[in-house]
Amino acid sequence: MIAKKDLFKISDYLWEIPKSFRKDMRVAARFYASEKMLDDIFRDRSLDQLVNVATLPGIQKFALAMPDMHEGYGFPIGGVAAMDIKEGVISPGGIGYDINCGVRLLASDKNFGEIKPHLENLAESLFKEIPSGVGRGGKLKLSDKEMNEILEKGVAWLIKRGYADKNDLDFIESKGYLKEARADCVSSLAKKRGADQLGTMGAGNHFVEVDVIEEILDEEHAKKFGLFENQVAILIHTGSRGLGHQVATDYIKIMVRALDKYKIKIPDLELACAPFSSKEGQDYFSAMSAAANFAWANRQMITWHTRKVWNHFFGNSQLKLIYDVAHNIAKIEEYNGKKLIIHRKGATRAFPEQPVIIPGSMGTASYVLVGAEKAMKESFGSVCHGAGRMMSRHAALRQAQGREVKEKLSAKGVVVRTGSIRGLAEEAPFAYKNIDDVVDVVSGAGIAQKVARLRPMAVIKG
Amino acid sequence: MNSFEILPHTADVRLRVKGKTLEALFKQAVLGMAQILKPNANIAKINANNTKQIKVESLNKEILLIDFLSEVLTLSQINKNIYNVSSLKFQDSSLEAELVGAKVDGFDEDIKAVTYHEAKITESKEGNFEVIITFDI
Repeated sequence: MIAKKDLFKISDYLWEIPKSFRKDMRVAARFYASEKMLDDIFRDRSLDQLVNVATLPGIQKFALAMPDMHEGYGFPIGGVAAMDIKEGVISPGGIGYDINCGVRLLASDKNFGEIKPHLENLAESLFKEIPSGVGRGGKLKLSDKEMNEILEKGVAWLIKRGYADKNDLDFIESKGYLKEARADCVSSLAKKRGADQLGTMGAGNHFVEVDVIEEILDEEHAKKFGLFENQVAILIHTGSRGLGHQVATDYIKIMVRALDKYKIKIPDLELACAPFSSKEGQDYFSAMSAAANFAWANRQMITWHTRKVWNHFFGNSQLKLIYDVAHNIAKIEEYNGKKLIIHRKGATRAFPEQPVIIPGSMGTASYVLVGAEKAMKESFGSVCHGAGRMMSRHAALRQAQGREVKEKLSAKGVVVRTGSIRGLAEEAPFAYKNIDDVVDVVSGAGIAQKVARLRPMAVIKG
Repeated sequence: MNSFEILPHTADVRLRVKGKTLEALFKQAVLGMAQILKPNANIAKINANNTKQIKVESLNKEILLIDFLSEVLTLSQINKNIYNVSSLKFQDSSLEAELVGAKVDGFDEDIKAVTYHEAKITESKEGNFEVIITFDI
């Protein structure tokens, strides 16, 4: 186990576990945290998992973790790993099972006072219109041909069908599609699992929220992004659903079998990987890109449902897409003239001037940040992705009943619509780290700056 | 004794499974997973005609168990069924199984995947098997 004595303090917000800590480490491990967060971080095995990541072939500079890190399996959640595309590996576990899980923020032209009388009904309509929960299908049942087109084209396919505005593409990371996607690398089982899931939220920590912008923290960027105080916004959090889960399962299985072939030794099978340049590596990257495209299309279909409901209540009032970020993804990016395959698992891309959306836990604040130049030098253009879980779902259930959680949220004026009252307790705010602490660390470290703070007014969950 | 027990994990769910034989261990694991997916599923409603044959080949018994559960999970998700194992035959590190299913409206828990994470099958002096399986939810 790693103890505080093993850490080097780089700054008030950045810590290092040196390469000498364990002899199989190829690079040092670094993580962002404040001193007061360290005790919580030591409570689970996320740092041991980060050290395991530092052993992977071709890893560059540091295995990184963000302040919202928590224990996963194989890789910690909240991790960033950059591998050389020639010498390094790609690991499905470094992206996670929910490929391109992410968030998007839509902003309205209304202030909270204007929508307050309709809040209950608005939440009810969003709950009814957007399929959620486990196993509830979406509006579109995709044929094989349509599925393949979505996998390769992402959001652009939905524009042709009238489910997206042309302008939306400019406000989605990678314009809502990765060109490396190949539908033929996605198994038929994965396509079957996703066939009726486009435009569905799913369950767990996924949600749609009606938020109000509580505070503007950077006037200049808020104006540039189109945000103002007291503005009503909608936050959508979901991913690639069963399709992405199956792609990850299929390729981890393939890579476990290829470890001997490539003479790769790993401390945990969930770190299974293959050289990026190998057939297994390239096929996975193509399939993962296809699943990422499906996830962007999924958030776009949910946006379509949301806009339909919004227009029903507020006529021609617009919901403009502010930005859509992925937080479980691998992408080729260039740093210091070198092409790297960047794995982000529970971490968000934060390029300079790019909006970064950080959802808090259910019922607590969320943030809009803007990426900073320092992230390009220090963290492979990455920051945190959310509050970060601290307590198991079981422990959360032991601590509170779903009904109590709902009552507490109601007392704060938050409307809740959910298909699972038990799920509410599992996602209760006390089960997560404090989002303010997490965001203070990344802004204190200078890898992103705060732009606006959002407060939830209605939560819609599966 | 053949049994399973659902254990907490920070972000996921773990299942401790015990079996007097390897076959019992694999069967209990499928039952445990069904219990996570649909805690109140009526296994008695299983339709003897709703069967699936599956064949899994793996590198060792741990990987075999996880790959087997992954296949059952995939079938559950695609067909919206809860499965029980009606027969199971091992050969080295491969298996052939027959599943019987019960149709369900949906699941109470969305298991994304069965992970290989720390899935180590141990055998006690008395010859009983035990494993802890981590599910991503």
